[in-house]
Amino acid sequence: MAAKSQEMVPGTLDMLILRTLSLGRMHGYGIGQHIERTSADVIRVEKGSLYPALERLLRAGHVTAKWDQSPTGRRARYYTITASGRRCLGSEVSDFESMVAAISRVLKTT
Amino acid sequence: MSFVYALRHRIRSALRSEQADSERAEEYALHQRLVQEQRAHNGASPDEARLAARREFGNPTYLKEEARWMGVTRWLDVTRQDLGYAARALRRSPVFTIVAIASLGIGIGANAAIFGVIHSLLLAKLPVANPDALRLLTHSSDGLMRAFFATGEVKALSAGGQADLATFQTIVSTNGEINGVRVSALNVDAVDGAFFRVAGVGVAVGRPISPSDVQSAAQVAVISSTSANAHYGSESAALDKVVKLNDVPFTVIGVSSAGYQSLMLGADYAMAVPITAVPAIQHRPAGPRPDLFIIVRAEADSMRVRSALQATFARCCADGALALVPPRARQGIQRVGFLDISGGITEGRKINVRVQYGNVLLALMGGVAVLLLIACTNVGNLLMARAAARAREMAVRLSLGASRGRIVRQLLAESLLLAVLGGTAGVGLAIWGSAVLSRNMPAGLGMLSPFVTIRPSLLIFSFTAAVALTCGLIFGVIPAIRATRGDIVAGLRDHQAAGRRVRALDKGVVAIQVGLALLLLSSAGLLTATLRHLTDSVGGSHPETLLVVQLDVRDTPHSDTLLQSTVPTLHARFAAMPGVKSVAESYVVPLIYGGLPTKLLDAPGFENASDDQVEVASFPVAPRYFATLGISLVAGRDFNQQDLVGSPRVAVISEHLAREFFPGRTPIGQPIGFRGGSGRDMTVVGVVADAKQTDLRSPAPNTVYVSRTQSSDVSQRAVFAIRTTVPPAQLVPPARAIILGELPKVRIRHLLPMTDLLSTTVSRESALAALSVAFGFLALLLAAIGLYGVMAFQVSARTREIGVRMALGARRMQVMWMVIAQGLRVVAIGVVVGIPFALAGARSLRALLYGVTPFDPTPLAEGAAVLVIVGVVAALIPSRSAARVDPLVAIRCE
Repeated sequence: MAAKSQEMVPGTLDMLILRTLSLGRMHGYGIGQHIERTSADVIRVEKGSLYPALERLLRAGHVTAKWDQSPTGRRARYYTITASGRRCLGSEVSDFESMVAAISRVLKTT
Repeated sequence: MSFVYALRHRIRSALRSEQADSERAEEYALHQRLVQEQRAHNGASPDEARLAARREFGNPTYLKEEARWMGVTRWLDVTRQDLGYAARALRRSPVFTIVAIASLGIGIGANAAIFGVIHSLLLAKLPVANPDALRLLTHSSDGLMRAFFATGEVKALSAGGQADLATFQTIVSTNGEINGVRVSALNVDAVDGAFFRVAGVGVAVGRPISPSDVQSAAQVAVISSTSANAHYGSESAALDKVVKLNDVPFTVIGVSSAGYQSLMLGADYAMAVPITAVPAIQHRPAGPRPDLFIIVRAEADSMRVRSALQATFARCCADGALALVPPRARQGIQRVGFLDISGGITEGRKINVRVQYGNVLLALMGGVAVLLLIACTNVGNLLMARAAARAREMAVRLSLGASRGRIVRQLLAESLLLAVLGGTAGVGLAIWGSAVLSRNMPAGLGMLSPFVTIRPSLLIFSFTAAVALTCGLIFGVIPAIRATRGDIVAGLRDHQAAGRRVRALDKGVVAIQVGLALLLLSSAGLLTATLRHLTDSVGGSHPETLLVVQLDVRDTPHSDTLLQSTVPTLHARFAAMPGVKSVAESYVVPLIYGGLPTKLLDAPGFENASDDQVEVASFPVAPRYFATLGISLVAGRDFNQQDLVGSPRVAVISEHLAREFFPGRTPIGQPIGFRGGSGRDMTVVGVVADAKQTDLRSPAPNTVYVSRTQSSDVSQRAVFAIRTTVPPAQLVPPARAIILGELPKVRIRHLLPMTDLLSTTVSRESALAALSVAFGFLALLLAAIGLYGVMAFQVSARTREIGVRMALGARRMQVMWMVIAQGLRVVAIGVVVGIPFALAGARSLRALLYGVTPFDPTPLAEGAAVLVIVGVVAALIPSRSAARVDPLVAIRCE
């Protein structure tokens, strides 16, 4: 269980979802699990924001969705990243990184 | 690519919103189950795990809603809600709804009807195969274009073989018989063997006229679908029947496809027969006169075809091949032209409907558009009054959290619903009205009757839909925006405040209505004045007691000498009819199409003047002609029985001619003659008032009347003018009996009261004047309703104030006057606003006016006066209810 969980930095959820999907197709629960695990439970993905975010990405054409069998035999909706999703991910990551670098420069200045 | 995915997703969720919902539910359920399993795996009890999962997951319905809100579904849902709400709102106030739909229906219907006529007259194409490829061959020289060719020219052109030509000729059978019914005039196309193929005319049943029919001069006919249906009940029933043209039998071999009414625009067409059968119908050989139309189908490369025809034509004009062709002025270079006739042929007809009625229809279109605008402002005003009444409701909605946009959308949905209903009513009205109209076409619009029936077509529907939606936006947007702009708190607290705010705009709208009504009224005034000026002094005066007769012996067994020798007998017998005041022979029937004979006047002092300057009309008239027609004698004397062949030749001239050629001196006794004649061999003995003869729109021509008793011309025609003391229509049957008693086979070309002749001639103008008066009246009615509504609303909103005034001693008359004065102020503002509109409208009518300038102040002043009167009447009822306010009740009820 997470010792301390953090609020999401606003606007980064889409990026994290796209990053997660760039590793392979996944269903909604899996996406949330993956983000929580890889962030060492620092980031908690609110389910109330996960699905609207996925809907948004669907509407933008960055991901597609398809119903399929999960390895445990359940019917699940799998999300796949599209080419435009990858492009969007690239630009968001570089924007984010330059922003982080800028913020940390500000914080380190004495 | 991403766009495709996105679109697919949106469409899917829009179209299958139920399925999308259940998919989402399934997805969320899975998620929840997985969370639960995870918990259980970590050692929680199943119940604990389930509750925790539910807690964590939140409200699934909310999530679903959230996802749905993003889709198109949301838009559709909201729109459906809006429409449902609008329908309920309209049902709640049926009077408002009916008034609004009716006024919109009338406005939109009138627009659709006029547009339908414009469409069929100006925009529609011939109902033949690929009409765009059809060309009419013309030839021109000296800048004059002619569409008629002579037989020899047709032969030469088609022998050239460069193009697929077809020939036809339009003839009129004066005596027709279809299915045993006599028809006095049938329009018949005489066609060659290639016509049906080249023109692309189809047959509904039977077969077209073939080259072998033409070869053998077969007496066969292909009748129009309209005649088949009118006379035989159906197309197939007409097959193999016999019709008669001038008593010659023709067998019906086919019926042309529905809608085809010959290639001429707006023709009242009956049938087509082989061109070789014409001599049998007309009792005379195919004339050497050029009267043949040539059509060409130019599917591709029409330039090449044209230049080939040009070469052939030039050759045949130059060499002896034209021995075939009658002598005709062939000066200059003959050029062959191609005329696009995809909309129908207008050439070679007496009246070009398209030109004649084109600008009339555009003027009418402008009139109905203004009318619709007034109707729109009326509905907008009603909506605004409703919005004021509903200010509290809106304030409640806004304060409960409805977004402003949502309320605007709801109100717009209401007005668009109104517009759609009004548009539907309008289309229905237009179709029904045009059917009624085409069945009882007023004499004035006879020429238009082929175009009036509106066939429902996609174009007309889209036009009406566009008009209706534009209306909905015009009258919907402003009230909707205003309704939501108010102060919520004030709206909740005080109904009166909201009312007061809307009032200023209401009055503005009514002022604009009054202005637009002024535009229509002054146009109506100008057009009625035009009609009055046009019919002024036509061929004399008092047309209401004048009967005109024109007889013709051409194409009859009677000879011209017989006709002329019978004229005195006819004269005597006409004069002996009871109710006849005087009879005079003339040469021309006033107003009948056809040029007046003109000559070049030779008068003292004008020897070197140009031909144009001395061109005058000249024709012989009998003694008492002027008195009979009511042309007053200004100076000198009339012709008399002593002016005979052999006695000194005399002439009577028109007043304007006298002023122009004999300025400052008396023309009586002056010698005049005609250029190219035998010198100045006539003496002016009289001067008469000017009289218009053929063209109403140009001033009366300079005229030299010569004495009929001195002229030795033998004409095939005879014209009588009969002045009566009884209504001239009564004398038509006895006059006909007299004529047929003397000359049984003569053609009676005209035998009718002068007023009939006059009204057919000015049909266009009188129809336009009548319609513009009707439009003006409707506009007046709508403006009066608008004014009444605003004043009534004001009185009810100011009841308390009026009560206070009366309590303080204001008399009833003063209160009434206060209300009326306010109404008049609105009218005055409207008139001021309307003057520029009216002047602009008059300017655009300029081409249709005659005898009045567009800036004539009289119609404006008349229109303004009518509006003031109507304004007073409209304000009278609210003012009376204001005067009836009981001060005690008014003050207490607040």
